[in-house]
Amino acid sequence: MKNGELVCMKCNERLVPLKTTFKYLNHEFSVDIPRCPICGLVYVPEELAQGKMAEVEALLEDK
Amino acid sequence: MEISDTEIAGYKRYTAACFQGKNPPCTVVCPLKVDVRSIVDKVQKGNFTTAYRLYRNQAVFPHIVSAICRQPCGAVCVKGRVNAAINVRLIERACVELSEDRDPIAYNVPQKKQKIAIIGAGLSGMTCALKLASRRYEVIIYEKQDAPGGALRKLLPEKVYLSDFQNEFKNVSYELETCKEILDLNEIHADAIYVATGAGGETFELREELNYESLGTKRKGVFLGGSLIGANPIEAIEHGVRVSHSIEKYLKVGLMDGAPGTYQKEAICENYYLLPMPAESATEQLREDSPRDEAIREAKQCLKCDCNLCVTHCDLMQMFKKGPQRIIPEVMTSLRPIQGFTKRIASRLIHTCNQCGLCKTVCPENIDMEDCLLQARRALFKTGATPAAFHDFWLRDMEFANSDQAYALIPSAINTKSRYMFFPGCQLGASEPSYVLKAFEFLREICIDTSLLVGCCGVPADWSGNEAMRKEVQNRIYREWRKIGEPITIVACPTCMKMFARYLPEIKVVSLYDVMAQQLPTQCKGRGDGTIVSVFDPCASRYDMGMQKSIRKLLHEAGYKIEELAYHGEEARCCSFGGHIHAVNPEQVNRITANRIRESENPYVTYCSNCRDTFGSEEKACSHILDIIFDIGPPERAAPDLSQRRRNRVALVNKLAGKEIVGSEDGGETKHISIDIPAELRRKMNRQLILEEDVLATIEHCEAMGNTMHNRTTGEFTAHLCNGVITYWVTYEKGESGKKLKQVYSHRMTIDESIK
Repeated sequence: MKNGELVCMKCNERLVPLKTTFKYLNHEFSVDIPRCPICGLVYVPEELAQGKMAEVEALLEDK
Repeated sequence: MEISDTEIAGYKRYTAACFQGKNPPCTVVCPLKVDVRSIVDKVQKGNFTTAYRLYRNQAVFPHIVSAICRQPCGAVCVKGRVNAAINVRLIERACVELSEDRDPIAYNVPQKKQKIAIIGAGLSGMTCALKLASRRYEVIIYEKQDAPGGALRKLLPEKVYLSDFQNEFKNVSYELETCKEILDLNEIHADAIYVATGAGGETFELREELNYESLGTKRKGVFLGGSLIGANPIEAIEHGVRVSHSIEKYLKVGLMDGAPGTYQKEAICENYYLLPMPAESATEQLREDSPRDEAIREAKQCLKCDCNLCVTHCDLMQMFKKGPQRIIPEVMTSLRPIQGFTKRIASRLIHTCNQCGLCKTVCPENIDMEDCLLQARRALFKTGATPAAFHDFWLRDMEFANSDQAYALIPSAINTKSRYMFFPGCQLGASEPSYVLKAFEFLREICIDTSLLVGCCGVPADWSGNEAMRKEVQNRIYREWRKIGEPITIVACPTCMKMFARYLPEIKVVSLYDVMAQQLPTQCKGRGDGTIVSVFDPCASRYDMGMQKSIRKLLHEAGYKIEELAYHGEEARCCSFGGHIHAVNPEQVNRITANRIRESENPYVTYCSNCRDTFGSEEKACSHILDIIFDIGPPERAAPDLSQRRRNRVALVNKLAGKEIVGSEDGGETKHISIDIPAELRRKMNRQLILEEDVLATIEHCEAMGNTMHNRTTGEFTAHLCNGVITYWVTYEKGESGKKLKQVYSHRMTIDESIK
């Protein structure tokens, strides 16, 4: 799926990469991911959730 | 909340009796502590040069020792108790003959200032001289004969021992004064003296008050040992080594009491004689065996005695390649890591244990790693260190099983109090409602005064380490049981049996299968028609041999022939479901399941619905015993997915309440929307512990809040919802016939969606 074609239904705005904070097990980090520039609705693609995010989750669980 | 030092230190008690890695009997009785196990290991692989180095480390003069040793090891050899003892000297000689490199190691250590005098150039004196000269002390040996060797003259040709001396002293400098008899110690100017004048030799009146541990005499700086005090040649070498350490300590701190590690005696570990003996492997003896082949063949006969039983039986220990002695320190570190310095390294290991108890069963010392890792789970939970995602799914599953939708207490048909209570647990009805309905009907035919309690026994809370939640669940069971007259409880699930025995000992329990074996349902007689099956004993059944026998009796009566699996009865293994490790270590779940399936091509018969469905979901033919007794389904029947399991529970409770429709008016959730889920995505959801309810809740929430995204190219919609622990992402399309799921996944991180 091309992220640029995603539209927030509430604001009727295209999602654009914006800095977003993720939290897990008392750790925080920021990454640019597609978001609605008005309401902030986020989109996490499957490749990110099952790839990098899963890796970091496992690292923090073992920390 | 922090865990106390005492609590953490308490974990050491688990392995206090573990003898893994302890010296085998052969090494214990060897005066030189030759590491037979390691040497044999190298020789088995044909690596004689490395084996020689290991041997030389202990033997000091390998050529001499391999020629004169009388093998005290043979008398205690474990193999010798049932067969011929291993001929260790033959292996050692081969190492000496076949090593490609016999040069001693040249140590690069600074020269010491102290001078040591050794009186007597026999085996003991030469050993002490070599050890101290290697540490670069100034060493002088006085020998009254014209050459070194002492008592060796009577044992070996001169050239054998002289060449060994020459070789081992190759890299060190020392002084040897022959034809020099010392008559008075005062004529020697040295910082320490070792008197090793041989049997009947001069003692300088120092034998009295000799410290037989350090071999220190009453005169400061003077030590005495070897055959002078009755040692045999091999012991004389050990005396030489020991005195070298005692002298070094004396020179450093002025004490004559030696180094405890050099004289402390170790007792033979009798447990080695109790270990199961592996089947004799036929080793081919060639007509013209070379010394090399002969040594390798002899080495291959050696068992390299060590206890590894828990590791060879346990999936967890095999996966992490660690035994209890390595696991315990890691668990202790994980319970209270030092910030920025140590990590909770064993957190995943602790939560990957199947809690099956096989380790304790096979351990000669009953070391209970199941309990150890359960206590560790509790400690981690108490400190808030358990990642909620590890047990979230199963705790929600338990919550659902004990909710009004899936929980039921059906009183006895004739009394408010009942004589018996059937407790099928929560998974039996989730797997197949008929299991519970037919078993209950069967029990009521035997005794109408039987009630039924459908709910969870609390094991998910137990496995998550949440003690308060477990107690809450089990207190409810206890209250209900009291309320209905403290009936004898008939239990269908071996894990529930284990939970009741452990935490609800007041409740008298009996296995459903014991009842069935006594009162055999006649309709199943001969149903098997001679079919060969293997019984897959659930791991929780290992504590109840009676139940295991009942299953076999039932199968026999039903006309099945049983071929036992290698692991059965007391040594039953977990199907992978135990301990709820799915969210912690999904690869391990797959590995264990595949291994269990591989154990036999026969269809399995089990009596735990989780075992049944674990195999069923991997297309392994497996029947629940109730499938056979009540003719419920074929062994090839697919397992219900996680969502279907919930629906089955609701259907069961509705049937018991006399309602046929899922989603009742009073309490049952009515579905507002539905979605078509392709089979492939259903499998993925099962693997990733995602329920259809999670998918629907996500869509419903986002559509209600207007939080959906639309892909203008594909026309698909995407929604996401965090339940507090897991965030679900759902992509779906809307057509005329309704919604169709296109993509689903989840993650554990939470996202801060506020816009700054």
